[in-house]
Amino acid sequence: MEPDTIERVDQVFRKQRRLTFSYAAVFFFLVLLIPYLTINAEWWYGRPVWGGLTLNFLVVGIVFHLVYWLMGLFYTIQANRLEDELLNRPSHTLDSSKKGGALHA
Amino acid sequence: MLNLWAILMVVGLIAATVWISVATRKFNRTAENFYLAGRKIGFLTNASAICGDYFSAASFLGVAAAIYASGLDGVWYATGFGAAFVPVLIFVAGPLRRFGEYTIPDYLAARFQSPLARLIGVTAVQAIAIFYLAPQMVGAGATWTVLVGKGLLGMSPFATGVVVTVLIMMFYVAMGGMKGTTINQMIQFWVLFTAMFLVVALAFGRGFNLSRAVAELNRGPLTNTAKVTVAQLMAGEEGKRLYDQAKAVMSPEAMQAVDAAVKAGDADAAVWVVLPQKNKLHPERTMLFGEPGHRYRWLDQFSMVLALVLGTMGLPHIMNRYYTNPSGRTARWTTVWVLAFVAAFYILATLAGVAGRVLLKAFAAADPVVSSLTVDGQLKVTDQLMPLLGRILAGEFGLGYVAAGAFAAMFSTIGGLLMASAASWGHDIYEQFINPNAPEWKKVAVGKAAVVGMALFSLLVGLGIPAIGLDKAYPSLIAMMVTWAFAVSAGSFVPMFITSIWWKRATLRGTLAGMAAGGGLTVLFIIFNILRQTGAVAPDSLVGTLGTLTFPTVFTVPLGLLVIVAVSLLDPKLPTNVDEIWIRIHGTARERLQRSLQAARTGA
Repeated sequence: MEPDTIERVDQVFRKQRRLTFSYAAVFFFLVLLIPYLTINAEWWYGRPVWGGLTLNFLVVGIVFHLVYWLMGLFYTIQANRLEDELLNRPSHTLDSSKKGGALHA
Repeated sequence: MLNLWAILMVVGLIAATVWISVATRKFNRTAENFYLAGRKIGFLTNASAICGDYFSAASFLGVAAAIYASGLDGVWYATGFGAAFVPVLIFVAGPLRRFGEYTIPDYLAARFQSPLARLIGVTAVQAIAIFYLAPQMVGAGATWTVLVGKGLLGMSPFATGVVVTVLIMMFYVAMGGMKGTTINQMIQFWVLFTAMFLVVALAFGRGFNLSRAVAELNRGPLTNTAKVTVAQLMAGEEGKRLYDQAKAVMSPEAMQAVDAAVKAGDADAAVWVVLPQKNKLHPERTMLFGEPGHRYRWLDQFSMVLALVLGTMGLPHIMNRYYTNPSGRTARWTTVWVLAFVAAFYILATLAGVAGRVLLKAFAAADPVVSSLTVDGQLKVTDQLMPLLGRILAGEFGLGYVAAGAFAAMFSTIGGLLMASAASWGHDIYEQFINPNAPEWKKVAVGKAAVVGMALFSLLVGLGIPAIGLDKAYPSLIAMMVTWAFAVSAGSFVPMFITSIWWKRATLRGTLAGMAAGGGLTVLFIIFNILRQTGAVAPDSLVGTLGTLTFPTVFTVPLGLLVIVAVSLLDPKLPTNVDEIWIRIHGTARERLQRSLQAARTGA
């Protein structure tokens, strides 16, 4: 079993941090977009689109719950795969992946 | 509302809890087993137990009630609770477990090599635990009052509910440790989840349809009940009095009782009425059930959700559970399951809240118990929605099952809080500062003593709340106090977690300054709020004005982050072994070794 070295861990960390903060940016954008629309967009909070439900009610009551669960699922799959790919590859592969941008996750 | 089914089911739940605690007591021979169940809890069990920790009485009874009372703003409140595990997953779940300590103060001490950091962490953990335990005590007293309605040994029903709950919790947590608590929380979660599911399924069976129900409710203004004196009712210009507003929305039959009270001529006589509500967000619009603005003004629309989605990340009873996972990967998968359970639960709570609005009105006239608790088909106390929905949809059995669900919600949350608090006293104070060389049996004994001590302290808090009149100063005390716990948690721990896990340059001084700024400012805002609500300061004074901020997280978390970054950049002193720490947080050698050993054992 190959032990962790600070160089390898730093490489993993940088990829994980990019993944984490990308998901965080999307999540907080959505979390803040909803109240923004709730305050400012009459088409969002004031016009029913299905029975008595407005887009605001539909999204907040049902759709957003599915969205955040899917975000969690995809994040976990990507984070675990990223960890596996980085830690099980020889270091030269890590270097090339770094030059080539994001790994396939 | 004394009910045989309710008593049988609650007693059955308590008996199962006690039996599990006794059966698992032999497991608690070492401190690691007592506090962390030997770090061998699988992800499905742990996900159920985390949900048991998370869904307190505030979630089980309070969220559907908030939707019933406030419509869409209540739904937004539920969504905040649900989405809160996404930041837990992406920022802390894996790294925190991988670091491999016992508690949040443990993490702080090891990350920054500082006993002072541990002590500050313990202070914050205890503050959050008390803020969270206090509303559970209020919930226990209130639920006993509603469901049993009788006191024991000369105590009031409220005090009896608090005492009974604390004694049971003290026994089961001290006896069962984390293993027993985990199994109990898992069972309690499924009791409360199936109770919520049962109510919603039966509502659909009675023809409930979400889009149709909201359309029907939107035909008139959102209304709620209020208890006012005849003098208040008749004050003001004719046509604009509360009396006129009530007459516009109440049925002629229900108005007869109001008119009778007015005719009797006693200005101080109290009378229940139904009143149309105002839209705080768009004052020019009629307040409808399906539109926003009943609870939250524009700033609160943002700050409420930020308080919930950030605050969960620092709740000690939730985060301690992540240490019980076998690995960082399991911690992530645990959170995915938690997200699935919370999403399903809060969708069900939304449906229950809307169904309550429609069904209760339809059934109130035919059921004398429901009728006595409502005014013109609307609840006087909205927290009674879930038990009453159980009753009108499935009779006494339904009420009993929902009652068991409510007690399960309280037991599981109190159990988690007592474990987190005990771990903090026993492990972080006793084992680190008082007797570092204590034998295992002594460590476990101190942990159990800490559970008992904390349980007795929470008993005093529970009994003290009505004694100092806090319950009268806040109309929704349970929800308010839970919000305070989230706010203190967010201000104290969230900036610390984000920077210490994802920014190597974070220093001890920066982190402590950020925690003090975020956590301290939050506590200050809460004190201002209490002073304002209890009338100790004038509402238009500076303290009174600052005390209007219900959810200070919108300011305290950014402030905490800024202070940590600024002070850390000015501070040259990084921990000497920062690379070693980084390997512990982000390295996976230990997990890979465990996986290959497991593969070798199974021959894979």
